[in-house]
Amino acid sequence: MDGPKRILDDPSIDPLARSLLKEAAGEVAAPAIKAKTIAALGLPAAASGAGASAGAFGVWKAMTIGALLVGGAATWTMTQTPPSPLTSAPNTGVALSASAVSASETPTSETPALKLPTSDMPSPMTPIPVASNPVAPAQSGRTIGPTLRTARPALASSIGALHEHGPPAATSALAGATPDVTEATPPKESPSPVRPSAEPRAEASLAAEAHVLERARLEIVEHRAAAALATLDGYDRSFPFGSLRPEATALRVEALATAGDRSAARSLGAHFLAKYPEHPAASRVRRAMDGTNP
Amino acid sequence: MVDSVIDPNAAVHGLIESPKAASMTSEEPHTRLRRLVDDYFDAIYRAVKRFGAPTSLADDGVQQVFLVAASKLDSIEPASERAFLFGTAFRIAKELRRRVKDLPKTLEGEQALLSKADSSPDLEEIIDQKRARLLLDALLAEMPDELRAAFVLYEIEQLTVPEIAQALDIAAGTAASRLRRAREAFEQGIARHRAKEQFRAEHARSDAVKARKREGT
Repeated sequence: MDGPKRILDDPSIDPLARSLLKEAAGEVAAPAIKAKTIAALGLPAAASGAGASAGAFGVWKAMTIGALLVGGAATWTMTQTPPSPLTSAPNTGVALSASAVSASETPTSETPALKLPTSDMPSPMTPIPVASNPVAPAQSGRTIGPTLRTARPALASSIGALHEHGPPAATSALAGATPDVTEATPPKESPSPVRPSAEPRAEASLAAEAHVLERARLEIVEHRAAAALATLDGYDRSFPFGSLRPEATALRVEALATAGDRSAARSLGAHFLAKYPEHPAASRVRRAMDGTNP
Repeated sequence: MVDSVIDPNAAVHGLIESPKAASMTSEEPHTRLRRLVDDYFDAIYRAVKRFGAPTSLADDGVQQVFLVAASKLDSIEPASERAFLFGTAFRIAKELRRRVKDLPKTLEGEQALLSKADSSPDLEEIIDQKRARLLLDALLAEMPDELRAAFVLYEIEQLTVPEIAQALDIAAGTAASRLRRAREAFEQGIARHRAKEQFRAEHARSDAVKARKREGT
């Protein structure tokens, strides 16, 4: 069935209409955004065909989906038992991986982490049933969708160069992206507690960090500045050497601006821009600072 | 009444949930996924934005689309890839927008940014682009979601009518009629914009004349 003539091909239409559409059709995503997605999918950063085998991809897929569960449990764990700052990242990783697996166990499923991709997967925006456990009060009712949590760890690859104190292991695990197949398969083969390798642990820690920051971001978007600042305080306590600190700082500038604390927003914003002038969040920070001009 | 574009319980975009779909492509899953990203990333990014996802969440939205694709890769028929991705983009954008209540504020923020244009040529170019996109988004925002989706997919992303029907899970005839109505709405919006522009220009002229007179006296 042929459609009508497209506006772009129709000289009888107002040229303004054509130029708007042409402009829109030419828009491309910033490379960093694409790189983030590629990392979140666990694909090798090089051109297609290079790197990981299909098996490794499968494992990464499982880990990615697994990270949804990890991300879901993260907030709860942190709110229940604030880990001691210096050890929080690795500890959280282990604890979360284990709890994620147990939380997702169902009587019928032997492969919890691999269950999601099948045909009975909920529609994309349906929260994945991490919350079948009685936990996760912190994310009740206003999350953007579980996949965001997984996506966020990939931030590390795009901002890795900008780390303040980020542990090198965390970034290399994501950026390097050749997963350890033998370590990552246990969820499929054995119901016994999983002992993740360093890579999934780093991933889990990043997922936990990203989860907290995602929450702060939503709170800012919803103009709940006090809540956002409290969330960011929590982030600082839990991840004093977190990999996503620059992002956290950027969010704090936005939260301060939202709260109406102009001078604090501007001074922290200036500090941020001096330190990370090229950071993807820099434009957001500038905008937040501009918004505080009298 | 506006009918629902996506029935969440309907079979997703006409996909056949069977292993057959996967065997129809000889590609390894990761190769295929990588190809989807390479071929469609920009288009999906554009679509998520033009479908009305808040700017601040568009990056995440596009990522979500591909995470969904990764999780359903086995059941996406090769011929349906494009429709699947755009259909998913539509649903995700809709969901993101639903969850963020203050979209107008985001737009205001963008407008404020635009008003701060300085004279750097690069920036001016960027501002022009931004202005064009803002105007386009404002025109699109006046359309009901269903018309907007059909319009974006046809006029910007150049999908065919059957592909749009598949992506939005509607009949081809419905897609064609939405397209027609969307185009009418768009042309009317452009005409309104033209009229406003002219009005402003006339005002600016008369203001300038007054100012000159004042200087002369």
